[in-house]
Amino acid sequence: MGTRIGRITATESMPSTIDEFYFWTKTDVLLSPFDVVRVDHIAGSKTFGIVQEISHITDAPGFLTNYISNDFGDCHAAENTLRVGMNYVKCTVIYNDRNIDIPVHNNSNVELANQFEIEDALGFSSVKDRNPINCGYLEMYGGMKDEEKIRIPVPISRDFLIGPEGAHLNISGISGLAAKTSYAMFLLKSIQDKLIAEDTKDTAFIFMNVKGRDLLAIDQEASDQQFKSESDKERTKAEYSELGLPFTPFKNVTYYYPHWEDDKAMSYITEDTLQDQIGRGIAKRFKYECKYDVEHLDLFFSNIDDPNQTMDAILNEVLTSNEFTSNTIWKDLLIAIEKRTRPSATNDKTIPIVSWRKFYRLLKKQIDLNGMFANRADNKHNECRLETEIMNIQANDVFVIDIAKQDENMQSFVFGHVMRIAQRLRLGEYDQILSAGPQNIPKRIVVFVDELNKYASRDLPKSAPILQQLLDVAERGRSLGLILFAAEQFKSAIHDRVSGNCATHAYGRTNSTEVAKPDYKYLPASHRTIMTRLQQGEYIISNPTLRTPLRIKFPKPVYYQHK
Amino acid sequence: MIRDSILKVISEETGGDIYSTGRYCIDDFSDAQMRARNVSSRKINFKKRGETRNTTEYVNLKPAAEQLSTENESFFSYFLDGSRHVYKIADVGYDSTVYPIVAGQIGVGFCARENKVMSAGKCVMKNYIVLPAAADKDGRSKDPFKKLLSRVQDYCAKLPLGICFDEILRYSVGKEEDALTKATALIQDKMIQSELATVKALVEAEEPNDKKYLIKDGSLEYPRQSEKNQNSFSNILNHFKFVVGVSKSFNADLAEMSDKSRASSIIANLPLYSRTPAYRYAPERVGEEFAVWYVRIRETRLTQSPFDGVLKIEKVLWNEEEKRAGLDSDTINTLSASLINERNPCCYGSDTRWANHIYPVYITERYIKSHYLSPQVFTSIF
Repeated sequence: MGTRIGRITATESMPSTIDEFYFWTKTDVLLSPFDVVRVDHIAGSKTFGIVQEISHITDAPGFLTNYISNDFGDCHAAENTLRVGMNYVKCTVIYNDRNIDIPVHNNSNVELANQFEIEDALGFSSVKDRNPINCGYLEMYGGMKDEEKIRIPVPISRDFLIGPEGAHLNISGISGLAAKTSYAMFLLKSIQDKLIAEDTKDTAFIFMNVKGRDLLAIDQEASDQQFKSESDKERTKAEYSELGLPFTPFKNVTYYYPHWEDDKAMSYITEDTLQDQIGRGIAKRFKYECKYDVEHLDLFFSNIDDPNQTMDAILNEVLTSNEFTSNTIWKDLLIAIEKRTRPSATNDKTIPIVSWRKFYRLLKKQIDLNGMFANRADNKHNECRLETEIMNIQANDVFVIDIAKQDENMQSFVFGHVMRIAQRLRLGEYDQILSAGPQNIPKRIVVFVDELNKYASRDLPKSAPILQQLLDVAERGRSLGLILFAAEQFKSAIHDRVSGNCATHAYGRTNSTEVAKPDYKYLPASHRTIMTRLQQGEYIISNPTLRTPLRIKFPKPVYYQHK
Repeated sequence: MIRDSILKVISEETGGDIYSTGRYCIDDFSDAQMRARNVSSRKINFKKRGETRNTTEYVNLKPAAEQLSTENESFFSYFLDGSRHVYKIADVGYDSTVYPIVAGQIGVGFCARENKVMSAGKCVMKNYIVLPAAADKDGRSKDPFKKLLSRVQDYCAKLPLGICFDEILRYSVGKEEDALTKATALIQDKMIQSELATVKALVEAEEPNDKKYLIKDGSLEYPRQSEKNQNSFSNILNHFKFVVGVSKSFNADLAEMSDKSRASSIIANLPLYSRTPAYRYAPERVGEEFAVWYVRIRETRLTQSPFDGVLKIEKVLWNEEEKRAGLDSDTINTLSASLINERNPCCYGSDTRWANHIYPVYITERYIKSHYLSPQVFTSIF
């Protein structure tokens, strides 16, 4: 029997239902939203509820009563008796151990649950046989006595996180406080660790580095400076141990930087670090060659509104007309396109010259500015083509592709290109040309990208190639084995079909304007309010294997973070 | 035909004819209630001073109250109240005379307060049926309704309400007397007995002292009872050493000074946070002497009548010394100052008597009332 904390109160205006119930407690019972409570129910069964809202009431019928009770507004008036008050708690029903659905009865005892009951109630037990991965840990009864406090790892089924049952993860939260990248890395590392431990070779990872040097040292151990103190480090180690995870950074990591010139990269990485990584054989500079990559030029125009599809028509011509396809270097291609910008270039009037000029201007600007559009990738000097690299990705490999220093258009281009190649790989389009054969293609490729709003925004033109690419992945990626882990500041900015197809959602700290939007309506009001108060390292997570959204914490990153 | 019910049992056992009538709460008839209580309607003669000092003016207790408040000190720890709900259930006819059948619930309980937090003490609930004397056919037995009570209890045991009747009382009325008032008075007496028994039990168990007084809601003027009654007021007088009666409603016009002047103007002009001198009062029907004084806890301009916000305090003079010299004036001042500090919080909005109510007593009232069966349920079990 647990600590008894109150009794059910069912009234005419606030009845118990199959979905929710209320109970009263003393005002000094320090419950919190997301705590699980156990209620005695009929037939010896137990119903479990998760705390949603806690209200405090007194017998004062109105504000005026309290005003008068202070000598008609004397802020210093004393009282001899504390006004009779209590807390009443609104709970959502999550489980009955005998599958009894009828509402709990008035005056039934309400108690704190023990660890095993909480695991059962939240559905953790059912995950045990379905490739569990700990997505963090939850803490319950934080306001209670030490012996009553509970801390449990939260397992979610890998099958529902990266397929085949469900797929895609969306992480939202405001910059900095939400620690979105850290949480995504924590989950991804958990998956990699688990797969390596199980010797399961079916999943590869591609991370897009979009901010500074965030992900450019994930193969390195965390420095002592990343922890507040030695004890903080030890505590973090203990947390990893509690979650069954090694205190080690990512394994099998390769970094890909956009080529700039000579042996330089267009990146925030320092020259020394780059050379060090190249020296260790874990970094390459990638290039785009005209003869292979010209077909992806459509991705340049992701953010261009093209209502008459003239850009599309031009692209089509560039990719099909012999006038253009015979060019094998970007410079020649640009010359060929430039010819079309002249008034007497062709008798074809279907595409206006002004459109050709616009196309040429946009393309030339990007190609001229970016050193990665080159004639040839020299493998002997650690240069590569991303397509070649990705089509040869192996299980448990982690590719980090740095696009942080590029402008938004180029970031869209590279990300779209990566997604396209990964999709083609999973579709078997490279089976015939893979030297190692198709059997080594990972069954799943998990792609992580931050700032998803740049690529799957609701405001993007419907015809934007990058959006179409992501919609395709969101809707068919699960069966295809292409899994998207994405993060953004405001989930409401993301296209409904992208966010709606994510099986797992992680909500970090956000603001009240955001939670007022319809995307959050399905969550209880208390959860929405809590989202505006979450601490760094705290998330509300929802996954099909969990019976209810849970408030979880996760430990600090275990890999090196550049400051 | 009468369905199986308590009334049917009464009819069978007493040979009366039951006449169904509207069932209603007699408490609603305040006139009957006041007469039944028979306490507040009597004239009060303040003979002489009731305190040790010869206080003739109002005593300003604001500094004393503020001092107590600063020290976070209160002299009241226990709060006791009693109440009753009386209902006319039906009429019963014996020999062509029709009498009312009355039933009632009484509730007496107390709450305690420690560190400003109220906690439930004990609550005694009892239920009574009151029948006319004519229901007792023989008139010879001391307990004429024994069998009837047993049958009623058996019947009630089958109900899912947990109700049990404790006693069947009988009333006899003269030609000029009102049967309902008489029946109500019987239930009132039971409540008084229960109050006295509760005070006795509380004092013996909790041992109030000069730092932990008991406030009894209402007057302490318990009518004189047989000396054989172990729990009569006079027999347990020493239990009232640390008990004060605090009345929120009183008829100031009935209070008369020794010079035959009315006390009402003294009370009406009582300044805020002050008390009147304590007067000695010895009601004949009680047989004990009291010190009585009034304290104003709320400002007149913020209440509806000059008597709103004034509490009437009674303390029985329980030993020879007090009877001789009166109640210690310092004690009166301390108790009065402590009562002034009871003004917050108040029950404005919940009770029309908020200006005269003190919150712990209000809570005790609520605590007891929460044990009552609703009028609909109580009257329907007959």
